[in-house]
Amino acid sequence: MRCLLMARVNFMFVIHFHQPVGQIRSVFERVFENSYKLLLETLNRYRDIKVSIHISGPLLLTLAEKYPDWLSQVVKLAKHGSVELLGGSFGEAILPIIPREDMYAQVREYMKLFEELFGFRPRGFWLPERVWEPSVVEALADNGIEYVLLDDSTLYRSGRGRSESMYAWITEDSGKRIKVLFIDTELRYLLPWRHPNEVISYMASRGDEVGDKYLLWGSDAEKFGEWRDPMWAKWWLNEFFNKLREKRHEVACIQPREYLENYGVRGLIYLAPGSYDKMLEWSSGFFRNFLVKYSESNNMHKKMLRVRGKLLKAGVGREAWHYYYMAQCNDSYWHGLFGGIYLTHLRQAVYENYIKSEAMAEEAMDYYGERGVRIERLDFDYDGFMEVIVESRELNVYIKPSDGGTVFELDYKERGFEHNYLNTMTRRYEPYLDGTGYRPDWYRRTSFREHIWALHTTPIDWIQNTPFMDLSDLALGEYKVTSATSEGVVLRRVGHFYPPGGRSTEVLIEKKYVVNGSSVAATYNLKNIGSGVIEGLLGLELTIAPKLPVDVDALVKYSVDGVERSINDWYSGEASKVTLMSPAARALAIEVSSRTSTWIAPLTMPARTEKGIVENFEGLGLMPIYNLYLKPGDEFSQLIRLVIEH
Amino acid sequence: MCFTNDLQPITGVELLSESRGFNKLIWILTFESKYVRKYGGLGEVPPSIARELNKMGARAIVITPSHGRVIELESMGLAKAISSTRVRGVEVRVYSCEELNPPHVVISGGALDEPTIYTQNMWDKIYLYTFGVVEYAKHSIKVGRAPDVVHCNDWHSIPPLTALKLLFNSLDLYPAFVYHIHLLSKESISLEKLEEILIPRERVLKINYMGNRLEVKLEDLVNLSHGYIERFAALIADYVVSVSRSFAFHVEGVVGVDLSYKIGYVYNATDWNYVELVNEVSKTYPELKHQVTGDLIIDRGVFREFLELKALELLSSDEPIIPDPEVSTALANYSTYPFKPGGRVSSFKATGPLALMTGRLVEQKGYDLVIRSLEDVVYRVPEIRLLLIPIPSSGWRGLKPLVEASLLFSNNLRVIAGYTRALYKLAYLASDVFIAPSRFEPFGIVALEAMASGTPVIASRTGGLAEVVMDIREHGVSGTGVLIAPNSVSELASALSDMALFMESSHYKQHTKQWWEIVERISDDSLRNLVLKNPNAPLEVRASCLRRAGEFTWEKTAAAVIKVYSEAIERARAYSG
Repeated sequence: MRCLLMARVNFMFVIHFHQPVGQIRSVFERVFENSYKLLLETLNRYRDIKVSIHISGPLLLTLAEKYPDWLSQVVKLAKHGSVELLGGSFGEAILPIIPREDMYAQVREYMKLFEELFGFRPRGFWLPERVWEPSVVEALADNGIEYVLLDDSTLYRSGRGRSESMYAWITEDSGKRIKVLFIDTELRYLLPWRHPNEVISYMASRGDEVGDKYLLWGSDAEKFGEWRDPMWAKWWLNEFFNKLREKRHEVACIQPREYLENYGVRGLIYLAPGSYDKMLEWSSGFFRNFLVKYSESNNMHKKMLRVRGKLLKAGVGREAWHYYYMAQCNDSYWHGLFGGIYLTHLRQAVYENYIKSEAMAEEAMDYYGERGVRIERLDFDYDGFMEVIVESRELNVYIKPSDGGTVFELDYKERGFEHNYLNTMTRRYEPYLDGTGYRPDWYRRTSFREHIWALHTTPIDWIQNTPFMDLSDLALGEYKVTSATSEGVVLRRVGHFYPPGGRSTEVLIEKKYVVNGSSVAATYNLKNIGSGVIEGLLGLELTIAPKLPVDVDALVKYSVDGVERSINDWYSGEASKVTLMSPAARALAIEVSSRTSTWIAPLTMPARTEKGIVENFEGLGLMPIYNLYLKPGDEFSQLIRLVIEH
Repeated sequence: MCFTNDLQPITGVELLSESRGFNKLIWILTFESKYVRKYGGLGEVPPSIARELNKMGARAIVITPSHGRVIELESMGLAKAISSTRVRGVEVRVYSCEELNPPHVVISGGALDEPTIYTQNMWDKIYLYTFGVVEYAKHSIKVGRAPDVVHCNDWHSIPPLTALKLLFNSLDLYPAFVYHIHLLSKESISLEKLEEILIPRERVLKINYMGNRLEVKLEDLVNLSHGYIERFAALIADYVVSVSRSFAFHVEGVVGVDLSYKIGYVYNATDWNYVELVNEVSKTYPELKHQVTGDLIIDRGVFREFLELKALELLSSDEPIIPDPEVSTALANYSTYPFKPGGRVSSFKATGPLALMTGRLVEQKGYDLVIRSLEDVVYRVPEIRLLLIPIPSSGWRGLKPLVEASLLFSNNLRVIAGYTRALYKLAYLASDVFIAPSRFEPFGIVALEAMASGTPVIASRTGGLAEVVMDIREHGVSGTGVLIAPNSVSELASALSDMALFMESSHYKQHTKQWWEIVERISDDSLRNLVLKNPNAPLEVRASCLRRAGEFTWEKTAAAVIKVYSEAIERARAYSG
C-alpha cells in the first residue's frame, strides 16, 4: 500500500546486510539469530512500510547455502513490493582500488548471482563502504545499474550545499551515466540511537510543502540486534514502524526506484572522491591512504595484483576468479570502528582465497615447468624498493631486503590447507589509544628480523616495545641482495652495534634463505668487523600466524620440544623445536640448529570494535635468543628452519 | 680531428704539415705533471702536448710545482737549482730539469713541497707557485729568453698567468697567452687575492675584447668577471681552449658568450698503445707471455682468468700506493674479506665477465652510481666481476661506501684504492668492459685508454665521452661502447649487464648451449640481434676500439694546439702595434 503523496518529505530506509569473507561461524550464527531474523520478522509484520535492502555478495552466498528459507522470504517481500533489493559487489570489494576490469567483474558476478537467486536484476547499487571515485561509474553503468547511493559528505566535498543532498542527480564519467542519491549523515546518527519520535520529527522538519525532497538512511542491518541487544532492537523497530504508519502524511516511505520514477533528477553533478564522514576521518580524507598506513593492507592489495596477473596469463575458469573476487572483500583492508585489519581471521581468509586462486592459475599454466623454484626480483609493493619472491609448488616466500631483510609472506599452497603463515599484523599508532600507555610497534612484525638486545632485556620489553632496548640498527636496516639463484637468496649488510656510552662497532651480517619443498631455512652469519666488542642478547625474531579455526570451536596450540601450550601462553626457556598446531592447517615447525633460550609470546592489539576496545590476536612472537659476545674478528652462525609438516 | 673556435674541421694531414717547424718558445704552466707528480688528467695532458710540440720543432717547457719531488729529482741528477727568491719568510727555489722529456722547470719551497697535490690550503701553494714562476720569468729575461707563448692550464695557473702578463707588458713584451680549461672551477678572484701576489689593483693590462685592443685596470677586470676566476682568465688570455666540442659550448655559457670568439677546443689524446701494453704486461707477468701470439693477439679469457684468480694477489709489497694518508691509515690493518692489510685484496673465487673502472675518487666520476647499480647488475649477471681502482683524495669517508660494497658483494666486487703499476695495465687488457659513468666529463682520457687496450666503454653521454665513444647500438661493430644518460643508475645497470653478456659471448664457442644461455639474457634488442647475426661482433668491436683510439694522438693534438698558438700570437701582436 502506498503512502499518501502529500507528505512533507520522502523517506528511504535502506538496510545493508553484510558479513565478511572468513567470518567466524559462531559470530555469523549469532548475528543471524539476533539481527537478521529480527529484521525479517519486522519487515513481514510491516509489509506496508517500504524499505530497501542490500545483501552483500559474500553474505548472499552464505545465506543461499545455509539459510535459503530466510532468503526466499525476502524474495517474497520483494515480489510484493515491500522491499526493493539493491545490487552490490560480488566480493563486497572497495571498487575504486581494484583494477577497472575487476570493478566491472565484481558487479557483473553479483548481478549474475542475484538473477540466479531472485530471477530479476536490480537497478540500484550499494557501493561498499560508499567509497566513491568517478571511475566507478563505467563499471556500474555497463552492468545496467541505474543509480547508486552515496553519502552527503561526498556531495559537500564537491562544493555543493546541504539542500542539494535531498534530491537525485546524475553524474557522468567517460560518457557513461549513473543517478546518485545521498545518505543523510545527520539521520544516520539519529537512527536508531534516538527515540523514534525524535527521528521522525527530524525527518518532518527537513521537508516542505512541495514534498519532493527525500531523506535517505542507509546503514548496517547489524545495528539492529548485534550492536545493541535484540530486545531493544525489537522494541525500537516496532516503535519506529508504528510511528511511520502514524505519520505517513508527514513522512512518506518510498523506495529509491520509485522516487526516481516520480521525481527524476535535478541535473548534472560531478563528485570528488569520497565516502561517509567517519571513513573520511579514519582514512585522512582518502580511502587509499589505508594502503599506505597499513603495510599489511598494501601487501594484500599488491598480492591481488600479482595473482591477477597469473590468472590472466593462465586463462583459468570461473572458480579461480571467484576465489580472487572473494579475496577482495573489503573488511580487512582498513580499520575504523570495527576491528577491520586487526581481525586476523579476516586477513587470513583474504590470503586463503588469493592462494587458492593463485595455485589454480599456476597449475593451469604449468608455471614451474621443470623448475623447482622460481625467483623474481621486483618492486612488489610499489614503494620504490625491490623485493624478492621465491616460489615453488608448495610455498611462496616474499622477502623485503629494505626492511631488515625480513620475510613478510609465507604461503603454503597445498589444496585444502592454503594459508599465509606470516599473516601477522603490526600494532600501529591509533589515535583512540592515546593516553592509555600503549606503545605501538616500532618495526613491522614480520619474520627473520635481528636484534641485539641489551643484556637486561626481558620478553615483556620485547613485546611491549620498551624503548632503547635494541642496541643495534640491524632491525630496520636495508639489506642488499648479493645473490638470488636456485641455490638460495643471500642478503648482506653492514650494521652497527651501539654499546651504551661507547663507540659503535660494525657488524657484517649475512642471511641466506633457501626454499626446499615445504620448508624455508635462514642461515645466519654475523661477523664483528669493527674494533669494539659486541655484547648482548642476539634475538632472531619470528612472528607467525597460526591458522585460526573459524568453522569449529577449537584451540590453536604450540609445543616446545613436544610439550603443548595454549597460543595465549608466554614461554621463556630452552628450545630446539617449536611447533605451531591448528586444526585448520598443517603444523608449522620452527627448528634451530642449536638448542637455545627462546622467548614466545602472543602479540595482541587493543583495537576498537563495535563492542569497544578488544584485544585481538595478531600473531605469535617467537625469538631464539643467543648470548652474544663477539670480539673483533669473531663470527657467529646459526640456522633457523620453518617446516610445514605433512 | 681537431677544431678551433670557428668549428672548421682541420684534418690531421693539414695540421701536421702546417705544424712542422713551429720554432717558438712555449711555457706550459700546469699544477701537475706526470713527470713530477700526477693525480689526474691534468698531469697527463700538458706534458704530452709539450713533448709533441718539441718533436715539431718548438721549445716547450713545462713549469710545475714540486709537490715534494724535487729533492728526489735532484738526487737523480735531473734537477738543478737556477734561481730563488724569498717570499714571506719562505725560500722559493726554481729548478731546471732539462733532462726530462719534455724539459721542466720545477718550483719548490714551503707548501709546494707537500706531496699531496690538492690540499686544503690551495691558495698558499698557488701564491708560492706564482712567485716561483715570476722568478723564473725574471731569470729568463735576464738571459734573453722570453716566451712566445704562455700556455696556462686550469685555474691554478691563473695567478701566474696574471703576474706574467703584467711583468711582460711592463717590459713591452707581448707573448700570446693561452688559457686551457680541462675542468671548470668554482673559484673566485678578488683584488685582495691579487694583492697577495703583489699585484696592485691599479695596474693596467692590455687585453683583446671583441676585436678591440683595450687597456683595462685590474680592478675593472675583476668587476667585469664578477669575481669568477675562469672569466677573469678568459678576459686576459688571447685564446681559451677547452677539450671537447660540448665542453667548449659549456665553457662559453659559463665564462660568457661575449668571449665565444676566442673559445675553441682541442681533443686530448693518449699515449697508450696496444702493442706496448701487451709487451709491457707480458714482460711483467711471464706466465702470460705464451698467451701472446706473434701478431700480438691475446687470449683475453686467459688474461682475465689470470687477473681474477691470481694477479690480484700478486701486487708488489709497496702496492697499492695510497696517496690519501687517512685512507692509507684506515686500510693499513683492514682485513675483512675480501680485503687484506694495506689495501690489498683476495682474488675472486671464480672467473666471469670483468668490468673495470679507474680514476679519481670524486663525485664527478660516478663511482657511487656503480655501487648503486650493483644489486641490479648482480641479479641479472651473477657471474659478473667488477674491479674498481679508485684514486682516493677525500679521506676514508669517500672510500668507505666502495669498501662496504665490496664486503657485501664479495663474490663480485674488488676495490683496490691507489696506484698499482703492473696490475693497472693488465686490468685493461683483461677486461670485457670499462665503465666511465661520469656525471660530467670535459674530455675523458680514461675512455681513450680503455679503447686503446681494445676494451669497449660504457660512458655517460656527456662532454668528451659522448664525442669519443661511438655507441654500438647506432654504429654496429664500428661502435666502441654504449652511451648512457648521466646520473642514471638504471641505464648504467642495464648497459653494464648487457655489455658484460655481449662481450662474454665471445668467450664461448658460437651456437653452443652456453653461448645461447649468455646471448638470450641480453635484454637490449640491438645488442642481442647484433651478436645473433654476427657472433664475432664482440671481437670486431674490440678492433674498432683500437682503431678509434688511434685517431686521437698527441701528434694531432699538438698540431691543433699550434694552430691555436698561431691565432693567439696574431692577437697578441696587436698590443705591440
